[in-house]
Amino acid sequence: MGRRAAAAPSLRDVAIDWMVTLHSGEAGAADRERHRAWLQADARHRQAWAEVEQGVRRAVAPVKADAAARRAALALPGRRRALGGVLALAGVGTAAGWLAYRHGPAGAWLADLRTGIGERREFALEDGSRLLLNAGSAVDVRFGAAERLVVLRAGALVATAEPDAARPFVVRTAEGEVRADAARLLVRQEEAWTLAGALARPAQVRTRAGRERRLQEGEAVRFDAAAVADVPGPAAGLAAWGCGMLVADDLPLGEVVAQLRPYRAGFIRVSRRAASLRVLGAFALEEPERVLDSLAQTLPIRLARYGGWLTAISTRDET
Amino acid sequence: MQALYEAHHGWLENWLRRHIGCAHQAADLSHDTFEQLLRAERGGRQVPLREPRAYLTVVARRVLYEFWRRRDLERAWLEALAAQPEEVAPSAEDRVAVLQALQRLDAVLGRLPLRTRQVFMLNQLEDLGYREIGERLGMPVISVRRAMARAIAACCAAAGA
Repeated sequence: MGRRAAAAPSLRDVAIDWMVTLHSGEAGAADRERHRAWLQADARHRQAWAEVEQGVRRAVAPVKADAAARRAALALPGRRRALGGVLALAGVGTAAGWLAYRHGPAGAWLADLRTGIGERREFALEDGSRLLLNAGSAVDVRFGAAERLVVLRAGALVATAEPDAARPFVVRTAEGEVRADAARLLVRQEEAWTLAGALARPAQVRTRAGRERRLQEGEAVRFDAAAVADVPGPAAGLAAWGCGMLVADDLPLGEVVAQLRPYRAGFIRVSRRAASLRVLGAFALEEPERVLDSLAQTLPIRLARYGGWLTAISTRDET
Repeated sequence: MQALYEAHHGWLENWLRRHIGCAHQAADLSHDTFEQLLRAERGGRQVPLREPRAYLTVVARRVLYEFWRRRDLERAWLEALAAQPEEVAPSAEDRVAVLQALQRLDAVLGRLPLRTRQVFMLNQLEDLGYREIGERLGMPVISVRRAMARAIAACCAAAGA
């Protein structure tokens, strides 16, 4: 970005400043007139302006042209800050830099466990505990002296925690955490809430706002940052994915499709009316297309497949 | 580099496979990792020899991260597509072009703070003025201006590179 001029701002900085002003949504005729005068004053001004304008246009215009891309860009979470640090170290490439990382927080080597589409995997943790990740899941492992922390970033897991009264096993999600000394826990990160179940031995739920709830063995709840609600039926049914099954005991179709999503590459759109239809049955997650077809045979729905990555489900009486 | 590759690429592939579970992709990503190392070396950077595996892992984590980030971008786009009221079915070419555009914007805004990215995108993609952005994100207009300047500078830096 040019020389290090300490006092005078570079022409590029001036051009950037102009762009900031003109995009404020409140730039008036007087601003535009002054901008025009600045451009006319010097060819180097025009050059600097053209570069800044082009830089922004190249980055933005292709995304802006596509409505879905625009929404996707706005919905995107930021890049991970923690990794930003690692990247910076890799960029510097000095021995001191990466050695600092190498001897960084305990357990960092285990972090970033992820599973792809249609892939379930079991990971062994350093204390002998095990993590089974559902397809399309992401987890960071941060074991420390005070607790064994697992951060569920996406998807679902079943954790089998080895007993360690001194270091509780904690699964953290966007809405709160589930804690136990030794237990088998199911935790699923949904879009706006967390689903948690105690499959074996009790556990403790604590939402981000501080609400606490004890889970007896076999119980399941869903919670957001503030509130905890019971989930009817045994918790074990929610973990059927662990053996490749989707068990629907009067589940809304929307929920069935949500469980299928990590097993298919494309996206499934369900109309609101179709999403509320009730489903009964047991399905094999490994064959999501067959599940969809068999749903279409038993429910009053219509499937439309577009190029393999978009499937639309609507009721037959919808147009 | 040759020696490094021969001594460690099997190990690296295993390491990657443990993280993504797919042997095929692990091989690809291991390849990408060595390519990055090669590029770094040409740029005059020395691969530290004392603990090459630690260094390899750092670079591999970056490659892995970019791989997942591409997936996330694609997923976000598909979800937005599915949420659109009208039925659209873009062609395979559209899809590649759009994903490239998203990746590019994401890379350009790179490691800017989330707030800065949001300010820039709300202004550029949604055409919101600074006052409205400030209200939405709960920040003073002067901070919105500063964020804009930072993001525009990042666009220029990327275009110049």
